Amino acid sequence: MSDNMNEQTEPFRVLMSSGTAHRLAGELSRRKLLGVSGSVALAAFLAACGNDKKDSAAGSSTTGNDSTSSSAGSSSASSSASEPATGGGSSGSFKLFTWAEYDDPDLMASFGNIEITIFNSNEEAIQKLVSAGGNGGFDMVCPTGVFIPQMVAEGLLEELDVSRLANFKNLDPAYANQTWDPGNKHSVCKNWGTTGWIYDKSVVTTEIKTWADFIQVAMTEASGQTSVLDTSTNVCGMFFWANGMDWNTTDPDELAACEDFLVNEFATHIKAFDSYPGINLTQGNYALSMVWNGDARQGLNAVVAAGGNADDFAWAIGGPETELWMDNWCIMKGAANLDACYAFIDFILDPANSAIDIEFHGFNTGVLGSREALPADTPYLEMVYFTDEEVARMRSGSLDNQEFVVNIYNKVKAAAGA
Amino acid sequence: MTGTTLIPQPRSRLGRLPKFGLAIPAWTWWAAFFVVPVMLVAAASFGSKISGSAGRVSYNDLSFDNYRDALEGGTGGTFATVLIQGMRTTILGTALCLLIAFPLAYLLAVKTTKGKGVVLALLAVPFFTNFLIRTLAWRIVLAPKGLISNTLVDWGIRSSRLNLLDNRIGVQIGVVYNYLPLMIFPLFVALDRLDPAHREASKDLFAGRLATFRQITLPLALPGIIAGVVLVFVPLAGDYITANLLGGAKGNMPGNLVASQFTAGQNPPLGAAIAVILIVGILAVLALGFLLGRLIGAVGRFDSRLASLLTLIATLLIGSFAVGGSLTATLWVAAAIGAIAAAALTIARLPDRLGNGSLWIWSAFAVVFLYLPLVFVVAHSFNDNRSMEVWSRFSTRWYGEMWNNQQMTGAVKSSFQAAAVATVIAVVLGTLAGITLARRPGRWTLVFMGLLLLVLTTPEIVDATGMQLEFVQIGSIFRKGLFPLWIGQSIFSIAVVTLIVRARMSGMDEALEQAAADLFAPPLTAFRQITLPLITPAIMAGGLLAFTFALDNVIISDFVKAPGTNTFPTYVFGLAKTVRKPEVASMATLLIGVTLTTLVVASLILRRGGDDTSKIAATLTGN
Repeated sequence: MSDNMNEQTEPFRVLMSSGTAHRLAGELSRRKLLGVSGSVALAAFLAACGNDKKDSAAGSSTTGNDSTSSSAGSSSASSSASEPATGGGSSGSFKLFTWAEYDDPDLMASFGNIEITIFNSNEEAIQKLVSAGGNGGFDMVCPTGVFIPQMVAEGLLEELDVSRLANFKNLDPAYANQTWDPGNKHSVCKNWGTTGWIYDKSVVTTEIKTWADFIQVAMTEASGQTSVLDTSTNVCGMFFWANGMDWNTTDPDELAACEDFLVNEFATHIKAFDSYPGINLTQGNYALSMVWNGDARQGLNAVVAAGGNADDFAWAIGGPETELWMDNWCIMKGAANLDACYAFIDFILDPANSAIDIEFHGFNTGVLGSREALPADTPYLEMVYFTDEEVARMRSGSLDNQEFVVNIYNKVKAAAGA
Repeated sequence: MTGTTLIPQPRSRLGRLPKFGLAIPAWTWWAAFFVVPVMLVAAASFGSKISGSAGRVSYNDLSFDNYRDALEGGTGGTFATVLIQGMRTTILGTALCLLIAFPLAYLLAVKTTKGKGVVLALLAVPFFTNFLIRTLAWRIVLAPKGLISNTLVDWGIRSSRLNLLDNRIGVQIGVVYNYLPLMIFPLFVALDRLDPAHREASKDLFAGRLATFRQITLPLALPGIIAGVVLVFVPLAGDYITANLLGGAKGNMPGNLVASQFTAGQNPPLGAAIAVILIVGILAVLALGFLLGRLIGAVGRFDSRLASLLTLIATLLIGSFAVGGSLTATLWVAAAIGAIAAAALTIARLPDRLGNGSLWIWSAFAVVFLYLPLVFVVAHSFNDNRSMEVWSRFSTRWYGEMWNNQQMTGAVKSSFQAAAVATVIAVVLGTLAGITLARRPGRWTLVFMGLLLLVLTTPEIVDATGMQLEFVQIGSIFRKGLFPLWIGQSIFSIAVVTLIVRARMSGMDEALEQAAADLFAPPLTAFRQITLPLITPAIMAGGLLAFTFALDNVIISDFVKAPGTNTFPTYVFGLAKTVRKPEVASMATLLIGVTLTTLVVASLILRRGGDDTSKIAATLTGN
């Protein structure tokens, strides 16, 4: 009622200073204008977002009519590969939590609308999922094998029904039924790889053959220009391998020796903890990098693509021993798009699709027939497929010493920055 | 009570509430999402990690173990070393900001009459550009095969490539760059508020220019200097994003340790202990600085020369600590102080035009510095290469292809949605609190302002990790969708809106509201028709700032978001350690455009509201 009284338009007099009166009069007439201009700006933006939503809706529909163009061209490396086969037939959309640059964008787009979020280490991924109290909205995740028991224990993974995967038979039995997941109850091999190094020959003149050489060069010629992988196991593994120890050791003396050396002597020479040093080859950020084979290969490809000379760099597998790791497709507990996940795993187990992915990420997928499906002129295949002699030097990890190794690693990181 | 009348005023319903009634929402919000998280961090620092778990915290047997671990090895221990190094970077960064900003602010506020608005707007643009993008852009500039290194090699100044990236120098450049605007604006506002009459009086009393500067300008600008130093020091001490992007392994800041323990390190209790130590460190340094200032001020009243000497010694000591603590470092700092003093003396002796000229040159360099990375972002958004940093050839392809990157466009959309809601929360709670602070002060004001200051000065990483601990405990809705982002992004913004609204209200005539009451307007009507219109510019400015901060937020967003949800900053941050695609630069360029437009619109609104340039600058920067 009193509102009405005040909204009458009869003029009234107010006593106030002239400055205030002027300002108030201005405000009263302007506030509507403000409201209008503000909402116009907001509306314009929301309209832009609206379009976007429409796109993603179209992309996620099973027809996937515009998803084939999705992220087209963002990979220049894979243009020569054959057209992707449709694998399991059905396509769909799902959310994937994985490592960076780990699948051919065009291949992924040809399956459907896959939303990718990346992580830098298994520990980070698991911690994020655990703190999310569930699947965090993801349908699939790509952890390294040894971390799968921990993820199962945390209740993060859905039990797999391998019989739903028609193409599971394509997987080389050597890469199925691993010790950390007997019977493939929670995982299917995505690809496996190893760890080595790549260095700029114009800076590092010594040939690096073993992890002991690596450490030696990193502490001398390449001091302050060396990157190591941003993972606890690899950084500690380097020390164990260089000193002829088992990298899964739980021996307190060996662990203490590792901590002492890495923290007090080695850390200061590290320039960066970088899980993807490949891309830095073109920028000259590091003279020496600890690197996974696939990333090193991507880096060399990028050097060539940018007009550089790949012969400036040398790559080698770690020695006398080095890592053998396997990353896996795992479905998250409570995944919203379960069918799409199965369809995708089946799709990626198809040899032709697998070949396209291999050409992009540079890791052996263990899918029978994929190597034959690769174009003959595919560069750096020796970095993807290893000789028996090389494989014999590779060792699988375990989580036996994880807690110790993570602790050491945290101290190394702190010491490197000190 | 100027406005009382004989007619009894209609009792407001709000009148029955306690004095701080309208501040209750802000109070509650902060209690739930600031105080509780910080307490949780404090509690976790005494807890322990549940063995074998991925970083779950047990509060069962509390101990000082984490502090013992964190400080193991005394001052030579690794964590302690990082803490000290971080403090060095922070102090040096703050000092460099002051050094770069002061001549610039002085020139603008004191020596310039025309074009202030344009220059201020120019300075504001980098500040309102996405924090991550402008930091990442430095990677292009600083890379061993980047602009600076290449130029020096090409000109024959250096024979080998320059290592400015992935070390402490990179971090130092990055933090100075990122926090410089936070120094410029308070300095400008303080210097601009100086009454020229004071300086003229000093001149009339035959004081030389240097004497006038030292005895009039500097003391009167002191509040601005203190504000700037605190504004830069506090966020810089807690910043680890810059270090993460530019520091490699070498540039660790204490915040990095906290963040990594809460993520890959899987040891939140240890991270919490380091966070508590960090807060204590920041407070201790601020308190020390405050005491030192008081001491010198007190001495100054007896003997100004002794005070100057003390200042000099203090500067020398702090400076030598900041650059490494060795004897040579001390000599370098002494040389630098000498050089600065000599430069100041020379400029003061020069004829006005030449003096101004050198200030202009200095300022021009500062502006170039502020814009250098932005230029690279825009340029590299037209880069054909798959990697943003590696230039191959001109192409506009990413402007087309970025729309296909549904994860990025989705993240941008989430950014705007989350920031919009957070802004609404901040504006409503902050406006109510600001009005109450200005109109119903009382003993509660002190407590509330104390909490507000804590919100402003607590390193974001502490609140972020605390919220993570809290939300994990509460579960479900706090771990889904954008909900946690609304909360996380609103905390800081509420404080900003509160301050701006309060400042506007205090500067305003209360007689109007009382007149409305005398005219029988019920409180709500008076609020709607009188108070609200009068403070609209403050609400708009506060809202704009709140929106910008929310849109730019990385740390809290990264910790509280559901892993599958991204905002644009968390998306870019996730990519930061891998291949940064040019489409990120394209999107960033687009967002710079949006920022520019918003800024222009905002300053137009404020200008039409009758504010002059200086007031706009003051409002936009929350002063």
